[in-house]
Amino acid sequence: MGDLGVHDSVGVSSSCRPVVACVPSCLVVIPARDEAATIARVVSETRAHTGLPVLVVNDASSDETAREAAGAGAEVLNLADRLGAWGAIQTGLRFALRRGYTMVVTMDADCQHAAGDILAVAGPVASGQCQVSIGSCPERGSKARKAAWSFFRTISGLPYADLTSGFRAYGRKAIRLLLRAEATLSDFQDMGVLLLAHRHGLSIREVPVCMQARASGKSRIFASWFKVAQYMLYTTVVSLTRRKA
Amino acid sequence: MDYRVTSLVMSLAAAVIIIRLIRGNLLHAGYAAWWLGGAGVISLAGAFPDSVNRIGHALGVSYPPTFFLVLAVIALAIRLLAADIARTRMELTLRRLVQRNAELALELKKLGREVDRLAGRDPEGPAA
Repeated sequence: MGDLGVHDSVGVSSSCRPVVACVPSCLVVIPARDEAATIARVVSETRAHTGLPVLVVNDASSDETAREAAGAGAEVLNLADRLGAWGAIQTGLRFALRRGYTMVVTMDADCQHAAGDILAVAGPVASGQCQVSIGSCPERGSKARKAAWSFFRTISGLPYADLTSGFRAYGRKAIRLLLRAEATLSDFQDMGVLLLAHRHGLSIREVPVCMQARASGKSRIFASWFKVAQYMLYTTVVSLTRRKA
Repeated sequence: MDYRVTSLVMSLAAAVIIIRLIRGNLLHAGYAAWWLGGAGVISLAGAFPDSVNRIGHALGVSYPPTFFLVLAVIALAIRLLAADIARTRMELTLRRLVQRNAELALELKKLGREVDRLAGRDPEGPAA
């Protein structure tokens, strides 16, 4: 990797960088919508564990998510309209590229991902072993979710165990690829993004991590049977049409 | 009443509505061309029904009046597809604009703070 210096243009105090030198010029991007109850804790723990700069992309929340995140020390980008988790992440990737970061770690705002695992997820990308790493915890899914993953693996040709994890690290090449128009039109961060990276020959690696149950709220994808059906249909179409030839 | 008059009145009414929509800025002139063309075809088909029947026969359609209906359905399907393509392009533009807007808003906020700092004002104060 090129730049191995600490990149701290996103306000991180000098006393808050315990392990930051382990990863090159890395930004932690957290998409958040109505996560006021947990976002401050996620930002604080991330900064305390890694010392990395944190960017929260506020997906047009109706609560105090932006204020809580800023109060905990994150830089905050406020979206004028809801773009969903992937749209928010892509905004963060764009921000990172413009600011000269060479790597981005994405994680959820609901305390599902442990800040202590960030360096484990970022490690393979930082050391150049791969361009995308997935913090993988396939054990967390219900039987129905595991069946869905198995179905998507079969029709997409993707071999990864955890297809929906939002705990990922992207290297510079991956960031550039994921800023393309075809990625902008993706509605979810899981299959479409992985298929794009896979199709363009980026190396992807899974890193086993532990995930907690979300501290508050519930999954928006699985909020109702209608949404589940909508997600399944959309992802099936994406998996069948975007798979590597 | 002759059915040719009926179809002529219908197509003329459609043309008038489309022109009024364009004049009221409710329909982009580029999109209107398709619908005006459609109204023209309806009036021609109504005025010369035998020609439609002859074309249908020539193409092997056993019941020629359905030929015109099939053509209309195909034309509408193409129009719907074109509309979805246009919507996809607009969706892409909108998403990019929202993303860019967020970045610019942050830049503006930072610049405001910098101006306040240089002017010796409290950035968190009521005048900020």
